Amino acid sequence: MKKHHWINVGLLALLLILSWIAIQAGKVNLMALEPEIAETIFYKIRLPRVLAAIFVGSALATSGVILQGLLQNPLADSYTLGIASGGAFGACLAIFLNIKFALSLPTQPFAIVFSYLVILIVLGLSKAKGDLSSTNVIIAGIITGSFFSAGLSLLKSLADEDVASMVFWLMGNLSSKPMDKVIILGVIVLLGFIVAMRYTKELNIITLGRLEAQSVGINYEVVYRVMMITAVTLTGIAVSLCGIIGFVGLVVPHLCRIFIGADNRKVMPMSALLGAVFLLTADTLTRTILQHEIPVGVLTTMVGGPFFIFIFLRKVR
Amino acid sequence: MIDMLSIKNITVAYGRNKVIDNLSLDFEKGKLYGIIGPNGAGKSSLLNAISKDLKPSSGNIELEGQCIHAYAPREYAKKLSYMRQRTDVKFPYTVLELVSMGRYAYEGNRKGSRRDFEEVVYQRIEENDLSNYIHKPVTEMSGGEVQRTFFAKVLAQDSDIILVDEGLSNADIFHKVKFFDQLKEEVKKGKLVIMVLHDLFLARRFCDELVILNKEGIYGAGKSDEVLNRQALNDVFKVQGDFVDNALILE
Repeated sequence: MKKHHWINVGLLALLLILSWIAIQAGKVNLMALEPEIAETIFYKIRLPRVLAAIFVGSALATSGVILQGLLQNPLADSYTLGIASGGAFGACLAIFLNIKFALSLPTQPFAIVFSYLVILIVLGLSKAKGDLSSTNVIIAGIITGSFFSAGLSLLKSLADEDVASMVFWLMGNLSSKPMDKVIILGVIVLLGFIVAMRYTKELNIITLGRLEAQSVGINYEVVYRVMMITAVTLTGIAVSLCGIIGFVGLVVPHLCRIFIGADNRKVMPMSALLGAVFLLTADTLTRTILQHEIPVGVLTTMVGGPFFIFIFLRKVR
Repeated sequence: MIDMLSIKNITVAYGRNKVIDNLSLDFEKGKLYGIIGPNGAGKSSLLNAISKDLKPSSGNIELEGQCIHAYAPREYAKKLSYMRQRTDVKFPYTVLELVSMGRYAYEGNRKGSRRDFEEVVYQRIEENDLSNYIHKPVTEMSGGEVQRTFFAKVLAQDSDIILVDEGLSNADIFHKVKFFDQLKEEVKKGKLVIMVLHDLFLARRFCDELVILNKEGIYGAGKSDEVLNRQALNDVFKVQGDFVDNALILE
């Protein structure tokens, strides 16, 4: 077995051990409870939360690998393209309408629809400008992302006193997710991962740019769109369920590249595993170590920020 | 004999600015063509039109009698490869990984069998003196070494036509000469090489035929030492001088 296989096996083992610990850990000790109550807590609270952390972590890391490749930029992720901002805007729009008009619109479909809307606008703008080169796509993404961020601020200011529910949603958390939604998330993440793995070789070449990719025989427009839709789906579904959880998509693929190089055939599976390990660890820490549970999105960003600086300085050197 | 590559009345424009206006040219197999001319004469645009990077606004380009835009991406990659001027890599791919990318079009069929794959890739790496760097990330290599890696990738693509824009501009003289020797080897196998270059000495010394472009179109085309002469220097490049044993002597 080669080095990256060993690392993957290690990460998988680590993920299983962590899952076991995470299920045990919490405010109450499952072993000390009556079996019925313990079972309810296990199936309704602990297990969905652990699975959600694993799936969301994998989804964000996988979409990070795809977007960094497509945009030929090791520092890109779903925020660069405004996908996450779009998703957040969609969810907050649903929350806002629910509060103002006493509706009960589901946040999740809103978030997903707006993630796709963002990418349609981004790709449309890039095409109108000429082609799907990374410069065009990044500029279109920044413009679209800022627009939806502004929209988000507008919603917050209009929400007035009810802004708290939006803010809490935006900070990202993995608590109290219903099991059926978590399973749907798991299925979509798995399908997305399979599609992403199918095109890792193409993704490697696309990092050299559109023209180089076309020269060696890649059907760029097709591969680009398939991979972009995959990344948006993964980000959209994760954001729609858990809000904004930052830096996983950025930091995890980077960490993998430090150990095994740039080949996405190795980076992709390792990132999916490491993303799951990272988010599960972060989530378990936020709900056990501290007196008051903090949103996991805050922790990932607080850990991710300094790491980002490390990467940044490392690149300069 | 049918010309391998035939350019028929193409016009290429950026906005309203026509860089190539109604240009026609034929290229034959087994020759190394140089395209020379002053800045802005449309040399690179011509290569980009042949490589399908740019689509001409009128006219068409035929390869073996068929319009180039009728070829599927993989099929065209087996017919034509392109050594570009810009070779920037943002991710730390190793030399082996990068050169292997040139074999993409062959993967999944017989010619792309593993043994064949490794043979071609390793051979091209060795020819370009990169064997010691095989697992080294290209992001840690010098400009000239990166260009050689890209050249090895282009050769690994094993296409009938090789386009070269400026070639190894950052390489030392030893590797520049070696680069031309390798291109000559490919030409001997019956391939067609079309190269844009600025160095008139190299153009005259190594190219079988030259096409001289200026803003008006084709100034002249033919055997290198016949077409690139005192008159052409004066008319196209606006310098007074002549060639002595291919070396350009300015007055």
